[in-house]
Amino acid sequence: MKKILTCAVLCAGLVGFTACNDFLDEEPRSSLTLESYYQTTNQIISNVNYMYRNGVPDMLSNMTGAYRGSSASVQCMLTGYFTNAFEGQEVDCSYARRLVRQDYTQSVCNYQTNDVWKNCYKIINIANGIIKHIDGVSEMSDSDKALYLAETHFFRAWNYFYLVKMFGDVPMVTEPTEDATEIQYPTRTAQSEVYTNVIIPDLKDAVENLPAATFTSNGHRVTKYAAEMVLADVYMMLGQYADAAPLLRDVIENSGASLLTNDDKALNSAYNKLRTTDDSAESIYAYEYDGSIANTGNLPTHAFNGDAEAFFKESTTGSKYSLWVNVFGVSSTYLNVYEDGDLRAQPNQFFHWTYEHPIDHTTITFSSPQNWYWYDYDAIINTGIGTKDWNIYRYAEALVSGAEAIAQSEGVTADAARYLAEVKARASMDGEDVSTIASRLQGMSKQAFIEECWKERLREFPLEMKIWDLCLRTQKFPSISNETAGQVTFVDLIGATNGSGATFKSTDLYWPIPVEEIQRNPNLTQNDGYARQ
Amino acid sequence: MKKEPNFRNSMKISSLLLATAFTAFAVPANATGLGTDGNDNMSIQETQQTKTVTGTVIDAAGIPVIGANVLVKGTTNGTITDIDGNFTLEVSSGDVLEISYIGYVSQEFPVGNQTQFNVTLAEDTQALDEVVVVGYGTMRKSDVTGSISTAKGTDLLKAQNFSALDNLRGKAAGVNIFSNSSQPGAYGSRVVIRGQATINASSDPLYVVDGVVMENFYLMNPNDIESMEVLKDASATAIYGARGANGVIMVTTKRGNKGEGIRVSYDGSVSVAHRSRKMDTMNAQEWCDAFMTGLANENKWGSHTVDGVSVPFEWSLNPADWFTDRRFFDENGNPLYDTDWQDEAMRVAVSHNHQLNIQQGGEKSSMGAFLNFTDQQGILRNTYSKRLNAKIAYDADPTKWLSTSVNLSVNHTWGNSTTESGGSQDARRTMIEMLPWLPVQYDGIYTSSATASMPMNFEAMSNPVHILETQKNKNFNTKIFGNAALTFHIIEGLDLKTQFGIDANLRNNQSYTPSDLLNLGYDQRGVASRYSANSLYWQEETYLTYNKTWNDHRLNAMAGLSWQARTYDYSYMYTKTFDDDIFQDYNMEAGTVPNPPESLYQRWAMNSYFLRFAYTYKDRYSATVTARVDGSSKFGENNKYAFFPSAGLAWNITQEDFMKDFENISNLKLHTSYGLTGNSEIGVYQSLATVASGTTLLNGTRVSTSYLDALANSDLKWEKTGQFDIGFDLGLFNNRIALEASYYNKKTTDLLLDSPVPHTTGYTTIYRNIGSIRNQGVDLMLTTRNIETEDFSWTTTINANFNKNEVLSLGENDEDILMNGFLNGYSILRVGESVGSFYGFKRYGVWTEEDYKAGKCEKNQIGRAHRSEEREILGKGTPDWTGSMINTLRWKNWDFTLDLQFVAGVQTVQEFYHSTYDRFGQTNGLTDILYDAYNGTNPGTMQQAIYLFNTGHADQDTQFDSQWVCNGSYLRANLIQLGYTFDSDQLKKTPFSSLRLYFNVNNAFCITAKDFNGFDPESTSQIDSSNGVTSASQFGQNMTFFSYPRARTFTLGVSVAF
Repeated sequence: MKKILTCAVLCAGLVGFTACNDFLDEEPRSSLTLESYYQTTNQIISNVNYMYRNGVPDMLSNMTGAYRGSSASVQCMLTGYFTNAFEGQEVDCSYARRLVRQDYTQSVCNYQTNDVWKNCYKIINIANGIIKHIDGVSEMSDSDKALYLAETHFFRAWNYFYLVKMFGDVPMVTEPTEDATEIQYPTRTAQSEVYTNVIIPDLKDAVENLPAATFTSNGHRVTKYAAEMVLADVYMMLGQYADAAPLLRDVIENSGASLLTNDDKALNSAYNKLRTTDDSAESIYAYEYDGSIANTGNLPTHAFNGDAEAFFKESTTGSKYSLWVNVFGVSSTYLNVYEDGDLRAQPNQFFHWTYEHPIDHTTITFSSPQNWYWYDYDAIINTGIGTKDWNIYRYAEALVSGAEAIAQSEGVTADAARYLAEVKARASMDGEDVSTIASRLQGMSKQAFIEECWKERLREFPLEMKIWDLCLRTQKFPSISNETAGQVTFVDLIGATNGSGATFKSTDLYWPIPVEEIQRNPNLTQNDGYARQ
Repeated sequence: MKKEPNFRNSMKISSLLLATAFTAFAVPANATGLGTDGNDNMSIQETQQTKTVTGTVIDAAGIPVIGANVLVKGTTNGTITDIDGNFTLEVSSGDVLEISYIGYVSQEFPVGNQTQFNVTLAEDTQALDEVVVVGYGTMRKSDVTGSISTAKGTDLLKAQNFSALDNLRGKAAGVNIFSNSSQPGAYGSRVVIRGQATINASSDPLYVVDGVVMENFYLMNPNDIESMEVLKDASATAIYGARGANGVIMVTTKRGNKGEGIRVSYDGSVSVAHRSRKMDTMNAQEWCDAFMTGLANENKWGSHTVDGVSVPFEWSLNPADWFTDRRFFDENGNPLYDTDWQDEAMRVAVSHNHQLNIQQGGEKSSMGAFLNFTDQQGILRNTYSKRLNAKIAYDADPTKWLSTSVNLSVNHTWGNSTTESGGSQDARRTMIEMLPWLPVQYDGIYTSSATASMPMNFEAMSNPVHILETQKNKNFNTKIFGNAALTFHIIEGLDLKTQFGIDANLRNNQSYTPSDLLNLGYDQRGVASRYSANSLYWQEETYLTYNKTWNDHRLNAMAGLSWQARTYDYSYMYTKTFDDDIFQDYNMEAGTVPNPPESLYQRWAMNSYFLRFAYTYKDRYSATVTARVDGSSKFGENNKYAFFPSAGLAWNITQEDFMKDFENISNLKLHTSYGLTGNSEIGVYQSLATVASGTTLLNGTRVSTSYLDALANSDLKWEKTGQFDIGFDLGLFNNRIALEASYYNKKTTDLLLDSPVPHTTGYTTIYRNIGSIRNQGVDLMLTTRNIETEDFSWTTTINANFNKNEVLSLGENDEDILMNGFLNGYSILRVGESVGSFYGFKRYGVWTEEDYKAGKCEKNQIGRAHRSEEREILGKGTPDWTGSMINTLRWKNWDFTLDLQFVAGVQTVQEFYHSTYDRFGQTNGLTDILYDAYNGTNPGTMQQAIYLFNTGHADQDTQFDSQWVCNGSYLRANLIQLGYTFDSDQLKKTPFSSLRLYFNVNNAFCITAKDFNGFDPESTSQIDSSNGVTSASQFGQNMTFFSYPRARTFTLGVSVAF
């Protein structure tokens, strides 16, 4: 009996007490934890890298969806000049275009603002974490610390800038949240304070500490000049043109970037080079795409509307895509921003009306302008993989912004006129040179010149999602003639009739704070005109 | 009979041992004591002529009952049945034979002139001395204070489903089994016991097979199952502590024989399945008519925006102008083909199942070997699942103080399936949406939406036959499951058992989507992927049990400790863009655009201590107390361990003296319990601030990215469920009527909620213990033996569960949690509502011409949906009522089963209305469009006028609204079975000792709401894929975009023993 008992107890003891003390410890092998993070230079760099493709850069550039374009593209629909062909399904596009977002707060939040809010604050929290911890990374050199801190500041400011443009006052969070005990329920901070306390100081640091190099030579990382472009945008948004002008001058004179030129006025024009060429001289900042790591998704299919399906189907060589949706259909009225003789309004520059299959030579004619700027021959015919980088800032914008900032703060100077003239000259069909145009521009009144700069922005960047920012900044709406080419009048934004016949109300300036966020944080107020729930 | 060891001296020791005690099973009436030597006990008083009688004892399923007692009433003259259920006994003609077996109703037969007795024993669900399996042991059913449902393996096997879970459906009250897919082997059924009590932790019950926890239970071979016990209330489940809150399903598998000899038996079946229901889609001519109606509507009311200006449509209304492809239409625009894509995609599926059991028994050891092969075809082409399963069980008593037990099974299942989740143009979708005027092939090439050239575009899709025949999605699962146990019989009644068990799962998936499948692999030019997910779970449990009966006292005590751990390893590869489709996933380096490879490692561990103390006085008053301390690696360092106690009481009123006057009441027992159980089934590492690491494109190359991806929560702890249960068991007229009923109220607090936080923190959610949910309801089980004669019997079993679920509180601010978003509709978690509620717009009707004239809408809104501006709760996918009614009839050798299953108080969302109504023109749609849609004369209709969704047309408004929601209740003929059991006379000249043939119809019919237009109201397109296993998402029940059609199955089967 004793034997049995001993044997049994031993058996039990053997299995029962051999377990180690750390049996219940968790040691993830597939991920680091906070304790082991922010320790090495590589960790900081990989953390900074994340901000390059999430948050604002993504919202400006990501046109890769099948049925809708970027977040910024939907904002431009407020002007009424652009229509998503699938707006019956992507309803926020329709609500924005018809200025009825206030009646559909929940839907607008679902489709648009939830993601913007979430993604911007995610990046802001990441930036706050780097700012808090970078000093403690002992192995990192001071110069590296300054460099990556500057990049971090750049992205934090840029995300805040996007938020205040969309929502007005927003919570200003400058400390990272890392533990359940640190969760805050902040109220909205006046946007002026967000500008003063975060956006401007962050960008100033970025301008100071980022390399004065071209985008390409700097390994496609942000440069001093990219930061100057953003900071100039910020100053112009605040009406501080005198602060913006020197930044833009620096970009124009010193960045090493330049305008691309026309080899011909057809498929070898500068605009076609912008369409096809990555890392061009004109690029100040772009969102990269390539064939293997991140391609442009459905972007090539947005160069056509759904009629292309039947067209490619009939052609013997076909195409590599099956679903064609013009997610940013430009109205014919909009094309009247161009005067006669503007190269950019010619077929196969920014737009096209008739497409000839490059192999079959069959053609299709569209009833409305389609976006040639996104046409990617190789992707559509050969590979099904678009690789073209998305231009975020290019030299032409420095010129247009520079001209305006100088005019606003110093008057129509020779520099201002020349900057604007360079952009115009490139688009001139009859070959007018810069000095001729410049001298004509210099003769304009200050207000006329400024408006000319605005028009030039509409002409030069119709498909780069810069239009709504212009309306918001100037509080003017470009009322484009239905009949007369080049006839654009700027009227007060509030009360203006947009391109789809809807009238701007004061509540149309901002988007609704996500109702989901208000539920999570009842300390938030809703923007006027929108439902809280 | 085992010799009793002398244990006087050991009493002292035993009292020291953790107060462990164990009730000796009151040796049942069939006591082996009668033994095989019963034959020797000849009746002494032979007043009448003796003769030899023989007989066979079988159960309702025709299986021989081994070891049944055959006794001459009032004497000790008796015997037990042998391995084939046969007996021989010397009796007198005036004697009465009494035949009994544990768990069955005893029967008496006057001998008279009869010499052959063929006896079918009916199960006695109320038997006092029936034994049920509980956690870490067994108990007399009469002593149990908790709520436990039992299902016998033979009942479970009747339906011949691929999965044991489908077999269990409707067999246990309070156990909801959502069989969302008819696709064999592809998706596990969802099981919810007594309502869903959790949000982000798993709601699956714990499956304990022969004492070992099993994952992927749906893959287990149902033919190996002897019985299943479902533990529902806290008194029963709290012994499983932190893993018990969702209920526990205890599975006992088959083993060797109890009696001497070798028994070989074979069960086989062949099934033929076809679709039980079709969706009513338009044929070719109807499609053309609807298209022309759409054009006319657009001309009449529609407008499109050209340069921001509204312009009316002016479409030609001549069909010949539209249907211009002369390969498919004649000169007048009439279609030349008419394809029923559902018929083309579906098939008559043939399946077969073979189970061979070899069981041996002996004095000191027994052994069983069990082999299974199952080949089940799905009713969609090229979908199937096959299973090869082998199991060996060996039990031995090598010495009087030691028993050993070994059980090992190897299960390999493999099959091909088609996607059932998401919204892409998969076969289950295009078999409805594909244009009916296209043939399956034209010129030997599969047609697609791109085949025809006409002045309109279509949704890019491939035809379903093409997809099913060429797309590959193969799963390979290998499960090695087993345990080894040593039981030391220390002193009488005191046993020490130590058991080690493993559950290893190797799962591989191989898939390839060819480059010619539009909208699936076309743009990618071929997509190949493979993954491999391997898990290894082990547990070691050691416990002492003590059983003792003295005078009026019975004690059953148990105490033990447990270690368990699971490691999980996953890898994934994906590549696309191939030059040709030859390689599929067999040469992935040929794909030119690979994704980065993925891999993952996870581990969790638990360490537990548990105790049960059950005491019964005079067979009348029972009390059970259990306690468990669990420690889990998954929780915050401040809360690694937690305590889960329970207490239960039972009162067997029938045993009271005053009940002797109530002869009709054969059984009355009250029981009640309260206890705490936990849920720890969340992912690993949730209390830690973890970093997400990956790569991205920068400077033309792949660079690393990382960021802090989760907030730390050192206080993260168990979800706790407090459950109160009260119920009674009532048996009337010698248990001819038996009713079990219990009420429960479960409140789950400290929900492991992936709770929303303000996004300004940089995060969306954090795992916190916030919020609570209540489930309360009633389980009922009524068994009536309506008729019971020697030749004819009829038994009815009704079981039902009513459950009310309510979210009591959520995160910090009771925020709504929206999930499963689809066109502005969701499933929502909202305080005051049931989990799994639907949330969307309400449809009031359509805007009419009258509305337009009255200035209520614009012209181009005529015929479009008139909806509420804000969303509201539109219903819920979790039913109030679930249950079944099972009738079993036996007439002589024939038996008949009718198993009806019902679900009520539930809604279902027909998400497929999005494309079958609202996207018409680009796709095919439901025939109702032609008759119900607004046409200017039917202002009361709910159905939008036809506007074409083709590019350049007016586009239908498509939003998730109340029009998509319909009553999801149903009544299903789960199983109809007719069986014939041959008696031993008939088998004399055959090698068989028993033989039964049967014929089944599964899902013979299903009655649904009239406005339900899909295949089956119980289905979902919301699928969670975690750990390489796909199953229905917790909150997406009855939200169906398109589903795999449900089969009606006819089965011919045989059970034979040699």
